[in-house]
Amino acid sequence: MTRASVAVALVALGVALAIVGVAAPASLVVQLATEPPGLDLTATSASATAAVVHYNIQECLVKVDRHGKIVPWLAERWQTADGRTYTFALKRGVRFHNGRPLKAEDVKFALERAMSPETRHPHREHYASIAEITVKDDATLTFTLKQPNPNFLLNLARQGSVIYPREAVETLKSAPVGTGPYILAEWLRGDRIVLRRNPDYHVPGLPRLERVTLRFIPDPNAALAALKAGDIDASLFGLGPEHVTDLKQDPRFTVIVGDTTNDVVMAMNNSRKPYTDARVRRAITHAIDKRELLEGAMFGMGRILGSNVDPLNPYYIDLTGAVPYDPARARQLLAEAGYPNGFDAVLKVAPQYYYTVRTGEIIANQLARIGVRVRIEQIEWGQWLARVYCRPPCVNPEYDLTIIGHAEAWDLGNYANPKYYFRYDSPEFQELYRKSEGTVDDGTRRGLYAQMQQRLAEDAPVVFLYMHPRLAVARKGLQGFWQDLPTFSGDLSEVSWAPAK
Amino acid sequence: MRRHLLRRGAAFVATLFFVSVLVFIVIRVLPGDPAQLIMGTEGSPEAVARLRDALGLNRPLGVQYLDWLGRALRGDLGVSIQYDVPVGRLIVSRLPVTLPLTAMAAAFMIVAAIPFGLYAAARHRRAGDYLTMVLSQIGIAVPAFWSGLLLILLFSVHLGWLRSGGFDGWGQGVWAGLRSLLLPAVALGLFQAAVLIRATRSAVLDVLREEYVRTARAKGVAEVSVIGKHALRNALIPVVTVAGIQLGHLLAGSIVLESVFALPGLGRLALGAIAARDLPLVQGVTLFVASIIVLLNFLVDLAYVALDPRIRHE
Amino acid sequence: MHPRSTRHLTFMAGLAITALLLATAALSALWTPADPLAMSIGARLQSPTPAHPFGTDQYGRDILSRVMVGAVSSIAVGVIAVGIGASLGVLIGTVSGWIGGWPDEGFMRLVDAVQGFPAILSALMFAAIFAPGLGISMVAIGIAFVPAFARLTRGSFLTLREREFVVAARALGAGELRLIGRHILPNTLAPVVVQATTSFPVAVLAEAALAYLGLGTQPPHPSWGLMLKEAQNFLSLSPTFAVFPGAAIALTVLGLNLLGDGLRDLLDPRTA
Repeated sequence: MTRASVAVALVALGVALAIVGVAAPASLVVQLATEPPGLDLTATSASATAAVVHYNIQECLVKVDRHGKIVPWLAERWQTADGRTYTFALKRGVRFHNGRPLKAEDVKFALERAMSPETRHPHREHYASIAEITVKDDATLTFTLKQPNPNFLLNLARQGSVIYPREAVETLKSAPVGTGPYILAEWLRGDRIVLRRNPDYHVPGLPRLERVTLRFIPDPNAALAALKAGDIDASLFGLGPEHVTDLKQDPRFTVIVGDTTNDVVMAMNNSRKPYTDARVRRAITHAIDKRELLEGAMFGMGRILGSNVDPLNPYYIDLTGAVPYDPARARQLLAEAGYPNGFDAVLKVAPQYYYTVRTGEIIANQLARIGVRVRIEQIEWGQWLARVYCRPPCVNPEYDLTIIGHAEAWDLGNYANPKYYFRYDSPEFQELYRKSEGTVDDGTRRGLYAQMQQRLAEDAPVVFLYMHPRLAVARKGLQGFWQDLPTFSGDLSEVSWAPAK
Repeated sequence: MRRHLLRRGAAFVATLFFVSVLVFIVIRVLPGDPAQLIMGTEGSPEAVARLRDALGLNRPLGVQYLDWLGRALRGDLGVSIQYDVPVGRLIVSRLPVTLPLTAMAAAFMIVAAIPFGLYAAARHRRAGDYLTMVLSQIGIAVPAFWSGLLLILLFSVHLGWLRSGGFDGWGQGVWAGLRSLLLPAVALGLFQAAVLIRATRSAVLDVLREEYVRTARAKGVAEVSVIGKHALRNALIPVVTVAGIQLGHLLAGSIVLESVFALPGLGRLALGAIAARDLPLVQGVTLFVASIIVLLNFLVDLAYVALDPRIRHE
Repeated sequence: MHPRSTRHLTFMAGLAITALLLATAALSALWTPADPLAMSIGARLQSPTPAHPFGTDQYGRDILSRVMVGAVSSIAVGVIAVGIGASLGVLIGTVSGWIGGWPDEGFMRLVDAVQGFPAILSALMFAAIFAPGLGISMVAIGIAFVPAFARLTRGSFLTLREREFVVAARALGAGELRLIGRHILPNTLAPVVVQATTSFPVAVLAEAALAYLGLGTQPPHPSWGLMLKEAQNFLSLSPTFAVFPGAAIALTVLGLNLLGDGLRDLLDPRTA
């Protein structure tokens, strides 16, 4: 740009700011890469649905806030004496989008429906510890648990625990009603979802935007061009590290690179030879240069992992040095296990998640150095879920190696489940996990979590690769986005345009 | 003349029948069990059985086909699994993007191609001809998604004249709608325009070699008039043939451009349906698009009748 | 070679480019400047240097080597797709043109119907049933070529059937199959060859478009369309990444088009 045109641009910007100063723009256009398969959080665990609905349209009794803390939300407070009965007092003056006040009966209905085997709730197990829900009055209800559960409150904050009016249960999929800061205004299939401000929102002063348009732009390059051309204001999940790197150099944008609970791992089928042998699994871990991997796949954004607990977790311990990059040691371990010349392996990845393909391509290259010959096979996401992840009616997972990000926080239970697609079956680990689930004492749990993380690092049931970073971009002047994602969230309730100075 | 029209009409109906059979075979017969394919991700055996029942997959194939065809003829293409909305309604909701996009690309193609083709023919084996041919060769060699991307970089990112993509519907006024579709239409039409330039040129050259044109020239009729009056009219038949086939290609090509420009058209509907294993939607969209292409070819056929005196007096 | 063809500029230019393409593909099987799959993350997204004349891609792989290997995929797609289109098309055209009557009418309506399915549309359908990949894109592109070959062959048959030498051969008691094999098919060969040559670049472009939509070739195998799709992500970080695969597509398509044009000119009796 020439100096003159910079001057012109600055003047124009000044004029624009002056106009903006009178009234900050009250609308926002956000890119989402994937369109939700439906808007019913009680029927799908799709993150595309959560990004739109959870926190924006529908809310839960409690909320995981931007710092990862569980805070009161639709429930103003709660008390428990023994960790087995919880009594919740609902916040006063909360209304659903249809105008009706929230009552304890709605909470009981929504959560009992989630627990019921009749409905197709994707995570019924989150409510398995609940024995009974009783309504005391319109604003009070009590949960009785079968046994103390340290995750009880967390489970009530999850996307599948949203509260909705019982009369609107039929329209959850296409027109969800909730208590959230925004009301669904329009869903133009294949193109956009428009949200409008909820004027009766129960948090005073929020939301600050009149209108939010969520546009589905699957191609990140189209999204990048749309950002640069001013057609969209922000991108929350749709950009890759190269686009973010590009936008970092552009003064018109703020780039958010934050932490998440999304642990990217390369799973090894522990029930298949040669991955039954911990020496082979450790050899593969030794052979992967995670620093190079993170640089190549994510341009260095994100964090290297040494075990499965993510850095945002209060019980996280740093185990990145436990099984370091050491190809010589890797070759030695392979020889000890009886594979001095390496072996052939098939790595299945789903290109729906670009990072799995990139990560796989780099790992294939790195493993070739110790003689493990990896062939990459790309399969469709649905196939991945059916064959690799092995959803019922599948009995045996069909894969050697696969790469995926495990986005859920507090997911160590997966390693305690020998039927999980890792097929990691360690009685010692299972015992540690069972203990940690049965205790509500923080100090004891912390100790157990440290032991579990160590155990996983040494057993190497999977290769713990890296924490997938949050990569978001917003136009300068926009504020209120979450920096980190201690829980998966597309929360826009506090987003606003900064008033011009 | 009437007999000819009747015959063409019957052929058109027969062709549509074959289109429906082809779609049915690929979507219903090839996969073995479509219900398993659809439910693959989260289907319990009972759920698969239920879906098989709901889709009527337990009946003989012939019965299934006739039932499906009967419904399709009444405009009932089934219900999208992903959106829980009738497929027909989804398709109709996308037409205000795809049809104008294709029409604009076709208009661009014709406006850009015919004059250049005529010009090149008139300048046969001279600099203007060679230059046009080189340009059209380049046009044919550049993939449409690539030129689309370059157009975005130039016109939206650099110059800021036009939108990078997306479409707000026609509610904002005709002009705003046209502006959103302009870049993708140009990118889409560019390649086909290059093809049509070459077709026009060779059709006109063929006609120029004919006896009556030589006669006209010999009589001293001006070159402009020779090309404009005699050559163009008679060259129109092959040009219309090529252009007609290209209309189908434009419609299919819009699928790619809709992805580049993030336009909510039929193509993105179909691509989304594939990712979601929404077979009724894939089936509906392919049946619809293939039928439209066949219809376009039929209309081109009818255009011959209007253009070619030999057929008219048959 | 026929002396007239060596003087034909278009034909010779097309032939030269096509020969270059074939030579590159053949060479890449024996030798490339670097391993097309070898990564060097530290050297990623470089502009052309003496070590990497075409620069490097997002993993620091040598783009020149990948473009060379990509030529093989393009040729494979072209050959197989055109092969499918030509063999099915010629078969249908032969049967249809020879038998005539209502089977002819039926076949032609089928061909009309197939024309309703451009490569992208068939690929969409197949991808819904089978996994996306190079295989389905070859088949989809091949099917899209069938109508042109079928019509061409049928047209030749209709005219040749009544020609004197055929009528004479039949009068001399030649069997139908022999007649087709010895007298008619060889005479339809020229237009089929021209059609095949002009279809080839269309296949290359269609494969690129399908790879772009994610319905075609899958990584890490280098294909020009796929490289372009990947390069698109890095357009502002490394503009040269996109130049070379794009140029390879354009040059190949150009060469094959010129070859096709030249062949048509040379084989067309009117321009003799």
